[in-house]
Amino acid sequence: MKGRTGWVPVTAAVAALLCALGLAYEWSRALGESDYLENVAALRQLKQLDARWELDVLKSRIGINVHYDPLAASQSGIASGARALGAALGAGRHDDTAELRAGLDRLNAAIVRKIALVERFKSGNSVLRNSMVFLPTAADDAQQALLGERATVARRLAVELNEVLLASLLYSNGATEERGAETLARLASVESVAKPLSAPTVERIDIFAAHVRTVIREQRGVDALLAEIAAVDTAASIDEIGNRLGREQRRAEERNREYREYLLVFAAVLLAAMLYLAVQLTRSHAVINRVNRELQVANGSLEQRVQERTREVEDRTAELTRANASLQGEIAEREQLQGQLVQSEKLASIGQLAAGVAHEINNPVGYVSSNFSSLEGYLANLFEVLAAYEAAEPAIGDGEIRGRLASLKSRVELDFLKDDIPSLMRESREGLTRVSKIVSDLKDFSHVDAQPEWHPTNLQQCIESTLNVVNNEVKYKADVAREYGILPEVECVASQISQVVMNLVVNAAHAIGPERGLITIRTGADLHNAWIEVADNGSGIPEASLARIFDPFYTTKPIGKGTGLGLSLSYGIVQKHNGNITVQTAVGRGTTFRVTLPIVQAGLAEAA
Amino acid sequence: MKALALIACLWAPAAFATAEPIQPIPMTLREDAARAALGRLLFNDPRLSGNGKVSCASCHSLSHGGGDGRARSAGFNGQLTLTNAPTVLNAALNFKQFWNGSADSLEAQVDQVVQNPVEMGSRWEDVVAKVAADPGYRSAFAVSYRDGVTRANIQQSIATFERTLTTPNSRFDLYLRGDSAALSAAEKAGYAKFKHFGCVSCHQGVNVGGNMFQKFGVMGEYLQKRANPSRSDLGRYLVTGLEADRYVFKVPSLRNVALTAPYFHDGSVATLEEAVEVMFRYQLGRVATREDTESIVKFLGTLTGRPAAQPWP
Repeated sequence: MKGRTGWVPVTAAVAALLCALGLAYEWSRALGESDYLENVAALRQLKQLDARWELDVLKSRIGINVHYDPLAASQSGIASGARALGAALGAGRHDDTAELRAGLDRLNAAIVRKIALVERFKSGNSVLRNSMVFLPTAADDAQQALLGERATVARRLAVELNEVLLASLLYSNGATEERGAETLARLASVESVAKPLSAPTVERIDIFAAHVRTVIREQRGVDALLAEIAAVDTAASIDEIGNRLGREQRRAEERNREYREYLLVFAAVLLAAMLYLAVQLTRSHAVINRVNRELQVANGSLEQRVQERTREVEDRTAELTRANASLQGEIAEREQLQGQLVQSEKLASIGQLAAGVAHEINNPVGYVSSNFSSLEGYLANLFEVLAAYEAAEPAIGDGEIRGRLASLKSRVELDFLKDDIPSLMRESREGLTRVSKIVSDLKDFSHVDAQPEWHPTNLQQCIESTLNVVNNEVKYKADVAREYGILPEVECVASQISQVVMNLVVNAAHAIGPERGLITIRTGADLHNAWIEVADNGSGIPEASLARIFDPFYTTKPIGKGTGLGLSLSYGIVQKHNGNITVQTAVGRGTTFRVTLPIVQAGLAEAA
Repeated sequence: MKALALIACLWAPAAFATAEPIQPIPMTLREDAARAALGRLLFNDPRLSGNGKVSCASCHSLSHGGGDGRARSAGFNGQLTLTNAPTVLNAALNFKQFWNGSADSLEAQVDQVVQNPVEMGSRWEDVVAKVAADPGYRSAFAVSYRDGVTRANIQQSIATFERTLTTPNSRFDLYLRGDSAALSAAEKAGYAKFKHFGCVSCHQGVNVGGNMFQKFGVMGEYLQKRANPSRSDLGRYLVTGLEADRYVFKVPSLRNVALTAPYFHDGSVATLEEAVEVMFRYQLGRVATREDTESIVKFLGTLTGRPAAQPWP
């Protein structure tokens, strides 16, 4: 009885403790330590980008960077970095959102200002560098013109001009207000002295003067911009945000420690409660096992949670599951790939074998069939001679010789021989033809002499011309229905695709039984692939054969009717086109083969 | 001594290559092929315009060097645009889009042009509705984007397609990658002048321009003194409102420039020779000889290339 009454309050206490435990756990989790680390990393990266940006400005100024691509890249990098930081900080939970937002706004304003300054720097720096490079040439042009002048001022001007050039070049190394003003004053005097000279000379001096003024103006401008760029407080703004986040994190850690203490206390009380329950329940044999289990389970999860919080290990279960799922996916994919690999390996080895065999057989078959032709001719001659002898037979006077001849003829069955030899020859000739056909199929199969030409091809035309070729094979057995969709031109080897279509159509015709059947040819396309379907309403393929239909030499046709190479040949061709071939079948209702081909072959250059 | 000479030979091209102010276009693209294919459909689809008459390709035709060969283009109802249509080829390599740089990305460029009352005169709600009503598009978007047909995804797929329209195989790129025979002696001389005369202080980097702003008329007032001033002459001032940005434009890329006459932001100059002369006079502050101009035009011809849209990973 006592056990019963002890149950309720203790269970309630345990439940309350569990709630508190969960709550404390939830609170401590909400502080988001990983967010903090990510934000700090982002800030540090931003600061680094900012430093590199400034460095690139200086490199452009002194001419180490000969183009502005690095500057443009750091600029867009820092702008997108700041945007990403803003988004990350906006998404997280923060103590003082307004203050953080203000810091971010300051940073963004600084970046915008700096970008504008850098843009002006790029423009000014280009003009300055152009004029600096051109200045000696401009001076030289003016000097040349002065040499042609008779006026005595010309010589003095030449000296003055050189001094102005020197002063301008020196100015770029140490730009001071006085030096600039002095140079400009001397330039003005050169110009006024030059006024009476000939127009072409004045023009050249004007060009020189324009560039000297540009150098002095842009030098001032660029130096001022560099100072302004350095004064923009991007780095300080970044540090400020960092400090703010740091303070926030310290406060969060403080709170975290508190929660952790609560967790420990709760856990201890919970353990005590469990212990009490255990003592209570040992009295009842019937329930002890169940309670034990519960205790173990609760204990286990409790320990786990306590450990998790004390060690501050991130909960990575979700990630693991994801990784596991992707691993599973990879395993499945690998199995599938392995299947494909086995098939193409089979084809490749058969292909090699076939190429060798085809070559080896081709030679003897060649001379056998040529000898065979000669033999046919000789035999015809022999028969002719024999006929002549037979015609001459009655003329033999000697009865004994005639009797010997008659008995010899009947012993060797000459009449039968005359009948049988031509039919033996005919059969042998058929056999030879079949051997050559198989050899040529084998050669096709191994592509020994195929030099594939890839062209954008109209598949519909390709199908139609193939249907013409196989018309004889099909017309007595089935009607052909066409359901063509809208197709772009497909990059393929047209002759090979014709062969695939031919094999499929001929197979379809063979699958049709004694009744007249229907072969349906469909086409269509999506964004990247075109497809051809050849469907028949014939006998279908039994489950047992389905796995082997693409194997070389596998055939269900009567011996002598098929080589078993058609489908494996087609499979190889489609694979070389980076496409695939699939089959749907139902025994007694028919089979549909679907060939899918990519519209554009990756790797072959596409003309735009 | 021989070894030293050899080392010098090995060193020289490397040092040369790093110091070139113009860089070759990368040969590989890292764009999503499915999204680019989708973008190609949208790029050619007139349904993006208000009255279904013009597509992106109307003014940015790949058979016209990525532009349309007009001084100013005709918009959806025949009205003329404010500026010359810049080529879409290599636009991805520009640091900003439009002559005044008012778009930071290709996506933002698409966003503006579709809504521009002269150009495509459309509203995004309508464009999204029209695209989403097409089952072909719907399924293609479902494959490429988790959230299907949206304004942002339409822009992103068109921009992805445009990012595949780089021309990394111009003869000048071959030359920069080390094939010295890709340029004739006259063209090499033109490139030397292009560098020596200072054209390269603005037209530099991988896109031979397109990475900075510059005032049109640094060394002499050009736009101010011209007849028929237009609002578009104000350039970047229209974006920032800053006095310093008056007559300032994005330095245009010179890639494929031989295919994209007429020239300048308003298409006011018909030939490349004329354009080079104006640049000499008003940007470089010097007078070009006929010979210099022709030599530089020869070099500019080597920047012509075709998009090699294939090598997607």
